[in-house]
Amino acid sequence: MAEIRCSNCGELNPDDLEFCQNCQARLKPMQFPFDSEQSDELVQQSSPEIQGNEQIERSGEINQELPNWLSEVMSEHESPVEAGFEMPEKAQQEPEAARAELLDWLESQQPDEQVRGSEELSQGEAGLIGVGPLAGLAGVLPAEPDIPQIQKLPAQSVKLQVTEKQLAHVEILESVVKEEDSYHPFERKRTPVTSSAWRIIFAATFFLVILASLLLGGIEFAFPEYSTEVLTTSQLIGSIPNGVPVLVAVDYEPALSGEMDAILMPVLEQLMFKSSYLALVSTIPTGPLQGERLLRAVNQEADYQFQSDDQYTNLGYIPGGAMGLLGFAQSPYQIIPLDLTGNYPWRNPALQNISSVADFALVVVATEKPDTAQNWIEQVKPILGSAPLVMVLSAQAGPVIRPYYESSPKQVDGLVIGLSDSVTYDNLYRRTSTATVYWDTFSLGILLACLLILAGAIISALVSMYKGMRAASPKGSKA
Amino acid sequence: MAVIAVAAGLVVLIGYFLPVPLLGEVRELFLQWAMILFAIALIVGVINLARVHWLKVARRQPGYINSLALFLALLFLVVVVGYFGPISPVSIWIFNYIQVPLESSLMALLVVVLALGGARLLGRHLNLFSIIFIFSALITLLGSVSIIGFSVPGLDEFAAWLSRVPATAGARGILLGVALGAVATGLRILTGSDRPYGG
Repeated sequence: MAEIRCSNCGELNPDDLEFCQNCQARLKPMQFPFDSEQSDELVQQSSPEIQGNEQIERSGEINQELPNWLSEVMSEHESPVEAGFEMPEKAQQEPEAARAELLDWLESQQPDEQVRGSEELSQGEAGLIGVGPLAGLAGVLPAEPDIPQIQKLPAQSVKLQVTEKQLAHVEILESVVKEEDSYHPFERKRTPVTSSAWRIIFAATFFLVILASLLLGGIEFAFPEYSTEVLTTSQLIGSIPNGVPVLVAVDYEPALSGEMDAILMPVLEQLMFKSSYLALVSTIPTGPLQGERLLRAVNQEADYQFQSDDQYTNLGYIPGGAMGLLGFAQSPYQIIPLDLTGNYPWRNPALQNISSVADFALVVVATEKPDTAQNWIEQVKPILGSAPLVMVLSAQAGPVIRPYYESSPKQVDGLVIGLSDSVTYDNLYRRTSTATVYWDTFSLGILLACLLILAGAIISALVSMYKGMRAASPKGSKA
Repeated sequence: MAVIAVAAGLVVLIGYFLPVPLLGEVRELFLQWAMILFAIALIVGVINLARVHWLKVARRQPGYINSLALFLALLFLVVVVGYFGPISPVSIWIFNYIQVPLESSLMALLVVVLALGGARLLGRHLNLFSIIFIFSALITLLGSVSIIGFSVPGLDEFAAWLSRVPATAGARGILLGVALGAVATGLRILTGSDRPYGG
């Protein structure tokens, strides 16, 4: 029994069926009143020339029914033969050879097998038009199976799919990057009048009271009591022989020189009194100048004549932070071969036996930073051996470094903390250095600060409580 | 990069534990290289600072007057200190009468700011911790001075106790934390987990 293949799903169906058993698609063209079988026979039996003439005639009939614009389009697309052009002789004689000579790239443009298969199927089995004005023509209109395959491509968005949160992050990043290149003028916030007034009152009070104390003399404050660390330090310095080399690290910033100079001066005075050979060094760039300035101040104040090279040398700046300190502690002459004057100080009789920092009789470190003090303790103290390490510290660094002094064994052998210890040091040797001169004014300033803070705190607390109570009270309480 | 960093760190670390002379020499060499690099970095930093401010002046960017002042001061100091020497009387004069007063003045402003901040603290945050903070600060300050003929019994002792017990305990805690942090950071760099040098 003959079978017919469904052009939609490819299923084989008996020839007598009109619709596919599988997909219910139409297998045969619809039957109309005119005799289509006779028409088919005519088409099959007629020669290609007749078919061509017949097509031309039918197309003429179609042209009569079509609008003018469509007729013009059709006439433009007539075949070369119909248009009166002659095909090349070779192409007419050898159409197969001409096809074989197609270039590769052109061959690749041919429809793929699947598409071609469907075209062949549509032309071979259902290609003949059975109804309408195109009845009997093959391949004029696309066959039914191709229609479902023609579909619009899904729209592909060129936008990046991101969430709102990601978009917000992108915007933040963009704004940060843009701000890097933009200049933002300093926004001057409007300070409340009361705030500015309080600042002026505080500053004026400090300024006037301290100035009056300096010029007119004021309240006398008691000297602080002797502390054990100061006694230990003075004994340590007193125990070193005269004329031995002592390493002094001037590791504080100029901003705190007012306090630190006053604290360090009594210690330096004692060392100079013992004719120690001072080797100044620093781990901050301004330290060497600070040391030089301090020695000149002590010379002037205590009437010493310490001269460079003979009584002291300024070794300068040690770069590298903690690493530099370690290197200097191991071999100081390698790390700093020249002093600030450009001379080689290690030939000096006082320093010629120095091969490591342990060869100094004493190391004194003056700093206001706990980190710097820790660097000296951690990097230099293990190499020092029996040589003592004395720390001269500002009041702010004292509590952080005190545990090193109170540990057992001691990692810091002597401590001088703040102006009060410095005054104590002065009193031990019955001297009057800068610290002692400052003491009364310094104490008055502290007392004044305490009074201002206490009064301000009480007033602020009361105002805050009053505002809180007022805000908490109901609005209609007045009524 | 990481291999070099880890190897250098291990060599220096092992040099502390093993008394091998070769390791000690290598460690010293590494330290000297590090110091040289540090010093060069300082010079490069100064040059970059000058360049940035010079470009700001050349482009007339907002605030370029400040940059011009910085650039001229830097140039002036380089010329003067380079010509006269770092510890010449001229250099010492500049340090004594320009740098020290400027930095000290800024520090002096802190007195007013901190005193005012302390006075306003209870107005902004009236709670137990603020009261303890103000109380401790006042006791510590008052304990460091004493007027002749006027003394508060127990004030000095209480101030000394505050300084030696709670403050020292807090400082020890900070030191322990810093030490542990340094060990952890060192281990992270030695194992290559942390690469501050990039790569």
